[in-house]
Amino acid sequence: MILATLLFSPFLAFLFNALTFRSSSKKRAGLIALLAPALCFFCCLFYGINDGFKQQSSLTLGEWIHIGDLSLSFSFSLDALSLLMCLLITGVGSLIHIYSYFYMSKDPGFIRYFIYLNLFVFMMLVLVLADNLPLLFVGWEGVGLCSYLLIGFWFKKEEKTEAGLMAFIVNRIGDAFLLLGIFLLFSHFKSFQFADINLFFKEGLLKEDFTAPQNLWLAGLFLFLGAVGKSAQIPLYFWLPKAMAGPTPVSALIHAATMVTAGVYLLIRLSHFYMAFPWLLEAIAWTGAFTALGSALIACKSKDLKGVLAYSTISQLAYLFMAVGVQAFSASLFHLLTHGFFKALLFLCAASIIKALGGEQNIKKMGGLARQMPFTFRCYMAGALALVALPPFSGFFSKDEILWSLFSSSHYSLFTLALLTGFLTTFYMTRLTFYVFFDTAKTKVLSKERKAFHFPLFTLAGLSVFSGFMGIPHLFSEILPFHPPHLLHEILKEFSPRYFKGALWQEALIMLFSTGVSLLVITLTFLYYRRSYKTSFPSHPLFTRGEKILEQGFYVPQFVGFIQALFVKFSQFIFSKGELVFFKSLFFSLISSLLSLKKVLTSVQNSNLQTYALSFLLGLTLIVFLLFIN
Amino acid sequence: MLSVLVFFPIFFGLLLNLSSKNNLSSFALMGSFIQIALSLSLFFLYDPSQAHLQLVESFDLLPFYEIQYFLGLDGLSFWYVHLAAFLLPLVILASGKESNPWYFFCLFALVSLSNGAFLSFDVFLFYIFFELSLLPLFFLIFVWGGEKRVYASFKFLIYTFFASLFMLGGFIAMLILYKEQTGEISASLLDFYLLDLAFVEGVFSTQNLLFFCFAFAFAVKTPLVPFHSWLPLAHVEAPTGASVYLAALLLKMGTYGWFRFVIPLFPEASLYYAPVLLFLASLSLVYASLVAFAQNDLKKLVAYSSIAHMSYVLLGLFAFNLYGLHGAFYQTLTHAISSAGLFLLVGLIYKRSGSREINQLRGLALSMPLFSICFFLITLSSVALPSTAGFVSEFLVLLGSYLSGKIWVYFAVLGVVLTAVYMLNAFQKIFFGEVNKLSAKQKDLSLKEAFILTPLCVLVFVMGLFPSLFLNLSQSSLKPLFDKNYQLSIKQEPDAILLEKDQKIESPQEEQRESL
Repeated sequence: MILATLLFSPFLAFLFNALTFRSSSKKRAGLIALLAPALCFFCCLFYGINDGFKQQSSLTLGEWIHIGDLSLSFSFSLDALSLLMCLLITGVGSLIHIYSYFYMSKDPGFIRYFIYLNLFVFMMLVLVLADNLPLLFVGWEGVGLCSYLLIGFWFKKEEKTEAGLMAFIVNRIGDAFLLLGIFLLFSHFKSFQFADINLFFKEGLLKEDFTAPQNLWLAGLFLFLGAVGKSAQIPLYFWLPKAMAGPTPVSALIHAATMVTAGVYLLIRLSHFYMAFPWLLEAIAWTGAFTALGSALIACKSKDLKGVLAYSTISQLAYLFMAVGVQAFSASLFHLLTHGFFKALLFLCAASIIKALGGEQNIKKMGGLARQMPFTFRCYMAGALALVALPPFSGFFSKDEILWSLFSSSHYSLFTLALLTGFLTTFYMTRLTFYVFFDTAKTKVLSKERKAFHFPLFTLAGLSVFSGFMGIPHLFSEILPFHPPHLLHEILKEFSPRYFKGALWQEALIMLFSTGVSLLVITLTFLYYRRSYKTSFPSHPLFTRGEKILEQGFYVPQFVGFIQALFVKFSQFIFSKGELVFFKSLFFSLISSLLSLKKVLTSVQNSNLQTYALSFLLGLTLIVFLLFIN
Repeated sequence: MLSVLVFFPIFFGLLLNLSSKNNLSSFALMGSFIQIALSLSLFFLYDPSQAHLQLVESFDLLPFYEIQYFLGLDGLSFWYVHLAAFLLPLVILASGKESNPWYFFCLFALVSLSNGAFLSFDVFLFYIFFELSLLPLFFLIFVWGGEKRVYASFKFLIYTFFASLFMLGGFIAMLILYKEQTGEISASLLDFYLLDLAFVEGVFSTQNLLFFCFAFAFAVKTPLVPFHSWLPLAHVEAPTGASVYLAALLLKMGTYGWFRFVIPLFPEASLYYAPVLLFLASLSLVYASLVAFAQNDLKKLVAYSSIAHMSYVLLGLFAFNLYGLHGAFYQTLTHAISSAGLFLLVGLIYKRSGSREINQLRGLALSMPLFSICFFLITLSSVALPSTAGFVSEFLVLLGSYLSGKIWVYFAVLGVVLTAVYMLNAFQKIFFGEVNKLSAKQKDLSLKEAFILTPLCVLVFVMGLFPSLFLNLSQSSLKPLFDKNYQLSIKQEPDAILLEKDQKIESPQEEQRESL
């Protein structure tokens, strides 16, 4: 029942709006589009409160492909993990629908926007509810399609649609790997079901002499590469900053809170499978570490408001991968949720700011907004402090749990990198806050804050502040008198069996240290920008050079452009040399060989079969021969 | 019944000459609907649960030359008959200034002859239909084609005719072999299936040589990359209707040849050379995709994408497992829909603006929203987005070929990315961006045009979400295809029932015996 509601309401809203595209009024279409995710959200909430986290419900909507022993059906299942994801998708989704309703109200493509958005919500739900890999793939590519359409939403501007195209194609590269992974898993299990795959490893890992089947590590790698594409990690991360070309609420929903987390979701969904391949997990963690650090570095020098947030998203997603890499699946999901809240909030604040400034995105041209947009400022601060991970904001709890799992599983180098990234995060967020809100005002605010935006912003701000309490750290639950439980860990025990133990003093020390240094970084950064950013800082040539490299994003965009140009040239070379020269001459050689073949045929017409067949062969070789001469 | 399906269209096509100019296309439309009704009646007559040949009609046509008139229907040919009929009204409606009794006659004749080729089980009859089907297409290109139509039509004719000569040689050789082995003369394909063809690893054995003949003939027709150069040219010069039929039906005759002749007749040789063909198919896929990306002419791009998509068929077929086989078969159908759609769409835009150049069109999404939605939906199927038709077939093909365990398949997966690159790149250039002068003038779809495109767009999703509807009807004929002792028997209605009864009576007795 709940599954049917979840799947059908966004789909029907999409279908209705798509079919009445021409005749529908904005208001009606918008309300229908808005109701669908809201309905889903309340269903999920109700279901979750009524012990939904402890049970599993499933729904099969008929058969899809059935050939021999391959049987695929449209079957969905809702368990604790999916339910959490659904709550995030529909909850944040509804808020962003509400926000968009006002944000896009004057846009001529209003209805089209909501058609895409509803389709996105539907596809995302398919993704997290699918109980087999190909069905997940339907959602996986479906959200990719919606992302493509929404990035290029203002299709008159070519650079925007090109950004959409790049996002789609980079995702497709990941998808191709995901397909390979699915095939490899199928060749071993003869099944696409998550349950079958996880069960095999769950039972296997309990045995002492269990060795994972050979070659399956490759499947794990392929699936991980698929996840890398979707979740924008090195080396397939460069599409996400470009994806900021879409409407900002879309960036909030798709490119921060939901779609980009699909990769991590996949890894968590197959947690038992990945636990059987420790070195693969190690590789995942290191990919995450480098992505986290690299993108945080780029964010430090970015001038674009949305660009900073985009690189920050990549960096935070990388934390999720680090957590997965040390088997801290529940910590990963915890940060996924809190990040979903506060990053969506930050993007919506950015949307309000950009709108108020008439489309200005350069942070160096902003300033003084703390006074002019007080409500947005307060909400923004809630999000920013959560991202910086200061207690008691939600980001603190989730990031601390990741740090703690890195530390207690003795991944000290990863831990150091994560910590460093955390300080960089603090730095660039403080810088961003300073430029946008505290610096002298440079661009006039065109419109006042709209009351209509308050509700979604306020709700998300509340979530950013308080959602951390669903995962009380081990330390606090020991110390505090009534021992508050780690709710999320209880819920996700099934997926994340590993428990990270360690001395309490170590845990306390890490918390104090990261918070202390963060506070220090905030103070120093603030002082640096406030006092002396105009008088030049003692600069060293190496330092300025490093700055330049960061400004250029490690020259990755240039490199990608180079590859693109190379591809265009290569295909043109193939076409002009291969198709127009080589194969054209092949045709003429064919005619000439036809004439010569006729002679051979007439001479052997009356002989037996062997020579007859041989003459055909001779003809064939003759063609090949002529082909090479030509 | 089958004879009606084969001969009704061509006679109707002749009748078209009698109709007046004003109601010519409505008259033709009527004929096409009759043909659709006729072919739909097969749903009642055909029993999909049996692998036997059904609705057989046979008598000696030219006894002296061993040519039998022998038509039959099984799961392999079932859908192509429907496809041929289904496309007729769309193509008739889409024809603009070409509307002419003879133009329609050629289209109807094409349907007749392709039905003939798909339904005949006498090899010489098949050969005749197979070759004759070139003629209407030749005339369609030659008379109603573009600038370089003479060159294109002759290249098309010579290339494909030459290739099929190898097939004819193969048939003759098999006829002689059959006589040597049994002492009787027969040109029935069913008898050929029983032939015992010597196979030795390497090149020089009867089966290998015959395999080469057939493989070459069908590789040209399919087309596989070294032998493809006739196709883009023919497509570019052909009028829309001819392009649609060329891509949707004539190419399927090539793939049908692999399914019907190559695999079951030469099982060992096919298996032996499978790696070579997998390699060629992967090469074909990547090569055609790369070349498609370099095109500026939209129609040429679609033509090359056709080549790329057809190589999936061979990729799945020579994976030698059930998934690949079903995927390959399904790909022939899904490609027919998506390529027909794309050619119709390209035809529409060409008719309007007189241009197919990707560089010249810009921002069409603004001036032709409905058109761009249709184009987008069909493109999605071509890109094989999940839930569209193209995905099911490509998924199965790639799964099958992956399980075959050859390295080339990794290249084939590259095709998944490349298809998206060239299709969406073209889409973006034509439909997005600031609208230019040429594009701004264009009007959106008329009701008639919407009527042409709607069934295709709907079918894309129906085929993507409910592939079983289509595959179930062909499954029983597909499954035994990889059997080394493949044979096809004729369904004999009363006897078959008797036999089943006998078996039922016998089986309990046997069980009793065993238990005793």
